[in-house]
Amino acid sequence: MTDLVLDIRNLSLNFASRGAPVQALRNVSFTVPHGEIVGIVGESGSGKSTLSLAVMQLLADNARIIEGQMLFGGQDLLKLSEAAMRDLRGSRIAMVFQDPMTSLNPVRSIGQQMLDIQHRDRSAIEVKRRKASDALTRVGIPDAVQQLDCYPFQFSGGMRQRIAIAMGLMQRPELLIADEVTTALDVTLEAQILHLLREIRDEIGCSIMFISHNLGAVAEICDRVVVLYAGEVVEQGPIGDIFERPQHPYTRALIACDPARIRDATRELPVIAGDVPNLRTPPPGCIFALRCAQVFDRCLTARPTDMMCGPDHAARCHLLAQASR
Amino acid sequence: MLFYAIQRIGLSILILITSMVMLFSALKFIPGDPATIMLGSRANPEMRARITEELGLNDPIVVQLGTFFGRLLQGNLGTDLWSKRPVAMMVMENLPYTLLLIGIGLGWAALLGIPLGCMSAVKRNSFIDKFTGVISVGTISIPSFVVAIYLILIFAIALGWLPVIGAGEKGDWHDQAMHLVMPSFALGLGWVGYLARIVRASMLEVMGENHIRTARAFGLPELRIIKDYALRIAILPTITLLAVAVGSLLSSAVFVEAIFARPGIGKLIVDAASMRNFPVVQGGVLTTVALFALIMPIADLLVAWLDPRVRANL
Amino acid sequence: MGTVGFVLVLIVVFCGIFGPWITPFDPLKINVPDRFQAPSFTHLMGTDNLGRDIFSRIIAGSRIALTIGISTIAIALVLGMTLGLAAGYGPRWLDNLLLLIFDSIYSFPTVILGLTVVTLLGASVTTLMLVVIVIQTPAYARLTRTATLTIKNSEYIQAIESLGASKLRIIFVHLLPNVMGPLLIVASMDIPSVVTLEAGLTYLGMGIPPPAPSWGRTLQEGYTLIQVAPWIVISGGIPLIITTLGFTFLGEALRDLIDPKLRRMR
Repeated sequence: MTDLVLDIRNLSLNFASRGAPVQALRNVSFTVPHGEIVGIVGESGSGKSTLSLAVMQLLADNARIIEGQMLFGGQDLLKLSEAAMRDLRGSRIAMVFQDPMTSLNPVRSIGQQMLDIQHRDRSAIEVKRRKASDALTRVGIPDAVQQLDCYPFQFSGGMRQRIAIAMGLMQRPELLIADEVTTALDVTLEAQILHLLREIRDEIGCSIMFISHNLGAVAEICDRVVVLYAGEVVEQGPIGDIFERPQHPYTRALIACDPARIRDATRELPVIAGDVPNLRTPPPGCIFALRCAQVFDRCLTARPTDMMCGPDHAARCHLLAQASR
Repeated sequence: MLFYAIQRIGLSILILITSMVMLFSALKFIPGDPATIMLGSRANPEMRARITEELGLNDPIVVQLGTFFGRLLQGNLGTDLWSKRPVAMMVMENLPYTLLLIGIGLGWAALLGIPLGCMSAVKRNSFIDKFTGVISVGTISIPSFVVAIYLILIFAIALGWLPVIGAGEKGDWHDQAMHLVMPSFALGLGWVGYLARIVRASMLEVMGENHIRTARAFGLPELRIIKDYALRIAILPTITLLAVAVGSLLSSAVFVEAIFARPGIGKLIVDAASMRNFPVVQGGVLTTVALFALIMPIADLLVAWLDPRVRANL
Repeated sequence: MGTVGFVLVLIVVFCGIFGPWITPFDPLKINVPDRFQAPSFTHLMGTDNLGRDIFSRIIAGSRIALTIGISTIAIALVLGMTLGLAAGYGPRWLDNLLLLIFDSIYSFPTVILGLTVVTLLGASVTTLMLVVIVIQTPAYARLTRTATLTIKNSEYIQAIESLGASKLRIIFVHLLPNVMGPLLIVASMDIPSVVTLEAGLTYLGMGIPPPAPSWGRTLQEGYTLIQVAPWIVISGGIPLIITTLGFTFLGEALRDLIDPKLRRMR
């Protein structure tokens, strides 16, 4: 097997709360192969951000791992000590957050923050500054050396996101987690950032976990897609398979709802009726059953298991089990 | 930045002037003859006439106001009614002691309050947090003179460790330091609570923000994050609070100086007040008011200077 | 913490109201043969240099403290609200003038302002009350002013005005109820500082004249005798601590209850 940078097996995660715990992630399994861009797609509340924070082990105090493994380069991240995990953060795994306005320290200059990140490095300050300005130039910030002394509020939104990406890639991580990095940007900027991410992957050879609710962006740069719904992976596979031969009703509905796909003029936008289920009391059957257009009896009572529907393509649906009989 | 500075200081000066006018007119508007008030019931017509003449109390108001401000600008705060010494000199002799006392008192408050607040924020809802919460309210409430007296009971009378009266021998640093311990602690204790609370609140706010999460995502050690990221930001409202503290401490210093018989502005004013020695009271009050009125804008300017966001927007 | 505060406040108020009936001895009665007695069962807090029972004096002192505390704050509240309303609703120049005056009063450290007034008017109960009122009014006025300004320009007030509501009606029906809550909480938290101010000024000899058994007086007399009769000074401090802690704990608990924002931060 080509080396997997990240191998998540059966991850289940709860958030303790006053009442019943919130089952945020249930039996999540997927892999991020070396050098590939894997898209994590889902609506709000599907658990995308929880997943990314889980990989970084930066979840809130009330998060409880119920079962599962997260193998990174062979090591189970869940079994690492905090000190060991901290060693990985920012060096072998890096994360870029959604909102660059609030995720950069407002009272420290860009240069200071980029130097902070190199805190494990014992080289001289000039060397570190050079590395920082190189990274900034690489992401397309002009006059990088001068800009090192500027503050985040002096940059536009698009530039700030680039700076955040520069910070992420400066230490040449093996895995870069991009959490909704284009959500706060307009379309043109989004296109530029996506392009940048792909270039970085090509240059450094890192893997990217690209989290988004925007199918278009995912289609643009990802090699594989993992579809998340209410804390479960309902489908995953190569990008071509997912977009051309989606097997799970949810994936199909998502793609159908994409405004870019509307052919004829219409008064109503297609929607998926219903709401995300309450994760304190998940239903006994399939998690998507109550919103599914193709629901039948079995869906309400039994949990579906992952069924293969292609070489690398799996979906969690009773329909597939039925079809294979 | 400069314009902002001028604005702030200008406003303070305006307030200062208003205070002085109010102080000045207070003397005019109270019932009774100013001379009698100043001299008390011991006054006889001669003394009254002389005082009235000396202080120009019969001149038209505008003239009096004018002389008042004129003298002030020259640094003349009037003369002590009894000893005839210039008030300005008396103030200058005593001011350093009070400033020292307040400085060390604030030092205590910061030394105890800031770490407590910090720890409470970092270890939310732990024992230390709840303990600090109660202590904060406790120290805020209990009056400084009660603290002072109890301290004296314990450390001077029962244990005999620390001296009580005065400021210590001139030139003997150790002696002066020993004399400072209890008064400054009594003074500063009250503000430990305020500081702890504001540090806690600001830290909690900052720590919840996304950029702290980013710092963690890059593996920065927790201590570093607290020191360079969180505390740097949380310290800003603390500075403003410290300035307000000066005003409050100036008040409490009056009691502390009286109890410990320390020289200082507070004691000067109290002694003068009990003798109805108005010029000295006036001079002392003007000095404290001026001090406070100038500390506030300085603190504001400091905060503005430290926060690059504010600096850029000015 | 709130419950502790409530209990403490209850104790103080109880002593204040029922003082004369529960004091074991007459607080003013001088009884020289009995002087300098250490605390015992007869004299729970001992006697002072004139043989007066300290415990009784303390209880009687609570009446003084509370009366002054509550009455002055009440007056300051009324005055403050009126001025605040005037500042908020009145002409701009009045607002600016009042603000200037308030800020100027603020720039006087509390005790020092008190001493100034005492110098001018002599030490008496009236002077003390005047001092407190002058010191407290600006704070309440400011609060009221802010509330007035906020509401004055809000849309629902404009709507009501367009329906013909008079300014007076707006003030009494809409403004005041909104402001009363926070004002009362702030006021209750001010009671301990007023009591402290009174005790402090009396301690310095500038407050309530003798022989009134103010707690400050007990402290003052006790301090001079601290080596001989330490119990006087200890006893003098206790009621102050109880009062201040009690009201502050209670006030804090009340504020947490009413202000949801603060509650979330816990």
